[in-house]
Amino acid sequence: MEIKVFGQLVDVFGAENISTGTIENVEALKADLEKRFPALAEKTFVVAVNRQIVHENISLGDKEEIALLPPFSGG
Amino acid sequence: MDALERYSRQISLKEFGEDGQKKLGAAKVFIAGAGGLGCPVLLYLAAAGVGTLGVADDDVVSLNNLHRQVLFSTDDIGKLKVEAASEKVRLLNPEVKFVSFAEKLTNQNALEILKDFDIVIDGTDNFPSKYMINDACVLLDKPLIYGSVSKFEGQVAVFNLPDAEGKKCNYRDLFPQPPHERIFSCAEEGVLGTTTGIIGSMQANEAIKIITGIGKPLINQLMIFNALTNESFILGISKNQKDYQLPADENEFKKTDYDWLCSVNSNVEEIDQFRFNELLNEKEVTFIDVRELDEKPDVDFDHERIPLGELRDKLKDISTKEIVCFCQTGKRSVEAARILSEKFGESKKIYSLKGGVLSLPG
Repeated sequence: MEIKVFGQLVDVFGAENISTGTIENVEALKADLEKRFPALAEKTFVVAVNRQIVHENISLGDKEEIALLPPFSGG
Repeated sequence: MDALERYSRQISLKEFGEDGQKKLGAAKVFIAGAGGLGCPVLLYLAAAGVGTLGVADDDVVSLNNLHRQVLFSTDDIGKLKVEAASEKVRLLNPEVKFVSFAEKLTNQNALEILKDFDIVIDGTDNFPSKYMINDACVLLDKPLIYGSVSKFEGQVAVFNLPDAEGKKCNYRDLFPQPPHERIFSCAEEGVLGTTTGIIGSMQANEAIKIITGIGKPLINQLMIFNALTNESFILGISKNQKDYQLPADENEFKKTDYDWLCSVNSNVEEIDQFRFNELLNEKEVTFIDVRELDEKPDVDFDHERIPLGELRDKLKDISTKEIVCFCQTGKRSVEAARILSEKFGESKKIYSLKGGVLSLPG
């Protein structure tokens, strides 16, 4: 699965795009990423699946397009 | 005659026309903050002939503002931004009525100020203001054009306007709670003037579309633009009411401490499952499940169940000195803990279970 990250999360992952294997659902994805990138645990972000922001723990297929999005406050 | 000449190039657009111009002339738009976003918004909306523009900003122009706050000149350094802006807008388009407030928009003045405007544009640069303006717009049922920048990326969205299904989302449907970690500001991490210029121009463009009824504004959508790659993404937003609680009325709104809500060091402590288990074995601790009543899995220890949305109303006196909030994934419980902490202050220690019920061993 390809994951696109935005804003300050790029510093956490060291890249704008990262890959991961098949993962069951959104919470499992977050847990997996936190294991690989511990700094993520301290970050606030929302998850988009196929360009829709999701707040529920929905199931994920193999080919979902995932994005992780932190809040911005600059202006 | 002059008016038609001034606006002739936009009136020539058949989608816009004289009708569009009339709508702009009758519109009242408020811009919170005359900074990197507010300046291009003001410039373009004044030039386009929006009838009334309101601005609140208590800041003065500094030299390091000028690379992005394109409304101001070197001569303006030290002047109040609203005064300098008023002068520039008058020179650009004397037909525009400019209403300025040389004060910061806060929860004490926002409802009174915003009620006279049709559309609110968020040009602020901090989370307390963004959450406060969002909540004010929900209470007043005003469309809000949100914008924010982080380094080379920007976000734009339109809130509180119904989509085809009549659904209205607000900023909290996107980010239910303020971040509790430190997020760098433009002052700290830097920003290019062109980035705030692009995002501010997009906000102004959305305002023109909404006022004149042309095109597809970003209703219930978030646009993200990367100025380095020119990539843009549009993400859909849906209602997410269970993860946040808005102030119920004016009174509650005015009593909400937005600086504190968005502060990095609140006295809410997030705890892991191990600390949670330790607290379960102590006597003087109240556990509150803030999930909706039908949410599973159930837990098998003593607790109260008060959904986040009912917490303010149903909160009675709690005798224990320590309170642990928990929910499904640990987001709502942080919000709940903040509400409790706001109520009880230093008199109680409030915890939130990080990762929620799902983090507890089956």
